[in-house]
Amino acid sequence: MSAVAPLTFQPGEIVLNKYEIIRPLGSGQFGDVFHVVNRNLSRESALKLIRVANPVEHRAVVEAQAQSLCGHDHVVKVLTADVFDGAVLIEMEYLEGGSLADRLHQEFVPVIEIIGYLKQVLFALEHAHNRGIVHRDVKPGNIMLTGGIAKLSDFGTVIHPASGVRVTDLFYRPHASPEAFNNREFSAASDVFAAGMTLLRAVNNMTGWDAVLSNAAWPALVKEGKLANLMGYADHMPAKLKRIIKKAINPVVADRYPTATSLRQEARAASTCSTLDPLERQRMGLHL
Amino acid sequence: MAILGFNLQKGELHFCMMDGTRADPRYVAHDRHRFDVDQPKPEMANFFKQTFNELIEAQRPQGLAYRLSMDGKKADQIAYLTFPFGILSLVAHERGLTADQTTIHTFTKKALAHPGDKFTACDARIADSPAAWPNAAKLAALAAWMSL
Repeated sequence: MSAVAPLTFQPGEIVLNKYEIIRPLGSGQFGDVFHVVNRNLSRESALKLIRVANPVEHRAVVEAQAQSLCGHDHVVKVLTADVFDGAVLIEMEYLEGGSLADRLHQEFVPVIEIIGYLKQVLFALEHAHNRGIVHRDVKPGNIMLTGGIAKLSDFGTVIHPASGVRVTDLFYRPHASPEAFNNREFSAASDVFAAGMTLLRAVNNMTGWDAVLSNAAWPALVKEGKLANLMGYADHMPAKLKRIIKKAINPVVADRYPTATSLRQEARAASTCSTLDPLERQRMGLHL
Repeated sequence: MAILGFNLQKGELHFCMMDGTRADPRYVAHDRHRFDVDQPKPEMANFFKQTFNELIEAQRPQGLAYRLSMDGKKADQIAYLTFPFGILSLVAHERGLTADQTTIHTFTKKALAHPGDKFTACDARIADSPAAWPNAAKLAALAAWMSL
């Protein structure tokens, strides 16, 4: 048996005599995700392979998080966690709709649907924040879809600010609020900032996010909370929604929505037919 | 003993956290969440399930209570005034909490030990109550009070 986990798994491979690899689902900074069949339970799952310095400690934290967060309707369920050849294998529920990022790459997603997804994810964030947990990686790639249901995934970068407990110092920098990026100050408000950036990207239907990140100016803009200046606001975005996004990504914490709930309530108001004029309803994807 | 009371009106879920006893009720907090009455019923059901769970997590009551409105005349009104309390009952069951039902007829002078109407009773009999608060919130408080 090798001392270090393989770089990846191949379709058809059997892992831990339990998981049959069907296909890769994605690859990120922290690991790879595969669509698998759990042969012991005859269920399809998503399996994440994370290579970390201390897999036993990492697994313990994952299990504690699962205990605390799972069971929420809008959090992707963590089913099991195993240590395997110097890595951690996390089995999660499989959602056949893929991520919001996947969908944005495939088609134009109506604004009303995006707001619907985000409202659900904001319930999940509030749930985490009520447990003292900050996600730190809210982005379209971590919003998993199944039908009209959205679930927040990948709590691998979470931090418990009160105690400092975390498994990594890494976090998703392009969506980081200025206080998080500059001072490592993570809070519910910093997750709200990331949710606002996610909403902006999604409503803009940004398939060209890589172009933004290939611009050398992006870290400096994130530092000041001004990456949105590089992104702009799509013409089809209703004015009310634009105001909400701007408040969610306000560089000044005191001027931002303080909680996921407050952002969710405003987003709800933005999607109510009665508050929109006919052109805005059309832009939102609502029937006239 | 802390009870979280709820009251619904069109597009608004009011809640009030109460403590103390039936004879000596005490106000803790109140607020409201707006909702869309025109949204599809499945979405509305999910909204209420998530919101009730969120409020229970935040307030940590020992029990729940709600004021069931008898005002609905049309199907849609009956839906948004009553369906949510079915959701609340299921959430209560899952959490091992009681969910007591009241109606406007529950809040009698005798029950409130107050000679005036139910809204003045809230101001006169509930300790620490706000100087000014809406009747819709008071109805949530009354529901909780009856369960203390």
